[in-house]
Amino acid sequence: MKEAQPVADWVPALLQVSDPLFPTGAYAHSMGLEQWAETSGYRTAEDLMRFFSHHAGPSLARLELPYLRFALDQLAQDEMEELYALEAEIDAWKWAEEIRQASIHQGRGRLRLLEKIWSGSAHIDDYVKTYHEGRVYGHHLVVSALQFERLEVPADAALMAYGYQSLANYVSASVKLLRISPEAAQRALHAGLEDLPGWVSESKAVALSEAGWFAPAFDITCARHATAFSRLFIS
Amino acid sequence: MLLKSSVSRSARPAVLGGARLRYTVDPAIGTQLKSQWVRPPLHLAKAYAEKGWAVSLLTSPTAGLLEGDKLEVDVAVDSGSKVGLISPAACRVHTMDQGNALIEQSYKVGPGALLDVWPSPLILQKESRLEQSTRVAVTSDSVLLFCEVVSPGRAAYGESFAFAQWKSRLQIFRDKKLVAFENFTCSPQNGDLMDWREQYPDGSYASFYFLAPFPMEDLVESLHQIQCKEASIGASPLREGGMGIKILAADGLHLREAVFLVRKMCYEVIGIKLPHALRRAQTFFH
Repeated sequence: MKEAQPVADWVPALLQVSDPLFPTGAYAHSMGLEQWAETSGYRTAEDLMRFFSHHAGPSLARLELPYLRFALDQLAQDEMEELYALEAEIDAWKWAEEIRQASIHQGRGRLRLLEKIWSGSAHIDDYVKTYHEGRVYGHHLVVSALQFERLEVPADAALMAYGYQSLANYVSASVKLLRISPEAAQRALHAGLEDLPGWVSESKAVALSEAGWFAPAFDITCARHATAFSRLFIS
Repeated sequence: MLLKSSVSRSARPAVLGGARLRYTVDPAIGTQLKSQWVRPPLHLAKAYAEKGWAVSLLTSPTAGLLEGDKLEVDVAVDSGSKVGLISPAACRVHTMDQGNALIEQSYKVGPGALLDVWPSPLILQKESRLEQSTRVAVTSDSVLLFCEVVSPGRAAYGESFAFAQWKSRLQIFRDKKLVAFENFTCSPQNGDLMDWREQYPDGSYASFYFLAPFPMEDLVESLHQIQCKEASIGASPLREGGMGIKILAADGLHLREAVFLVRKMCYEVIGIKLPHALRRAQTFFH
């Protein structure tokens, strides 16, 4: 008879923090998809899949997931000042103000819940103190790293969960934006999640000096969303 | 029989050169180019003085950048100086077998100073590889209008996104605080830049960073209202004041028009007229 696998104690908490029910305010943001879908004439789940393979996936692989890994490494080595310097970089590469603010809005929401539900982390306490001193902003990526460390989520699972949340957020917005059916939305999410392990794997080879992504047309539409005549989402 | 070998397609050895320029202000005569060091592939062609400004023209007497070339530009604009730095001709980055060309730039803008960097396009030709590194440091009471223009190939030959690699790292510090950071490596053959290519398959790109100690709340709206056919303009405030502006246009002609309009609006915020010499000398945008 096979021996039972050790119980992964971190899984229930990870499911909780990754669930759309976890109130970070993500539902109010399309993270640039609203204006991009309008400009690009997106109508279908296939359009969303193309967005994943051309933009969201590579951006995860080459920018966001590497930065999440660097943040996790710095937490593991108790290098909080380096983590804060990393957050300053994150703030500076979020070129479009709405995307920068959306990241902070979601990060602060997540941080508030971490303090309430999973208190007792010296790193979270230090981050909150530094936040109140005005030295950090509360970017979602850094708060997510603090969360994954507090919940003892293994690094690979953390990268995968962060990737899932990013894709799921776009899918959630697309149901309203593209008027695609819930089934079509799930088909698009499934396609993205099939590629996610590859993006996670690619991200692990990216050094800090190489981490970055360039999408000028997407940036332009993100910026123009701020002055759009009508819009459904904050970003 | 001709074989492709490891011998570079370039007929000349790589050149390592550039420019180190320092500007100061003399209350009696205005801004002066106090010290200079210039080596090929750059040439400091001419300097204009007008209304307290110094306008310098950097040109490249060589064909452009070839494999192994390295260009260093180090500019210091001391307190109170007003400087326009332009390159009136496009800089081609040529086809390379291996290796790359390097451009390293550093700009320091002192208190109360103004620096306007207005180059002509970098043209990333077929199978070229370019690595850029740019570091800008300004004070909160200085003015910076920093522009970069990139063409993804020789449009006249139907060449577009055929370059091998474009790598760029840009950091802008305001009072020693990082306010803008770009870091990327693009290789069209790997499927990069799809957003740009889908919207403007032969289009060109321009980017501005505009930092000034003046209110610019209305500038985003004004820039987004620019009616420029075949061009998209996006503007977004930086954290510590100032603005990032990106432009994509269907071709060089429309890009020039958009660049002109953006610059005009930025100068309205600064509240001074663009020196005639600066406008006249930037012949690429005429």
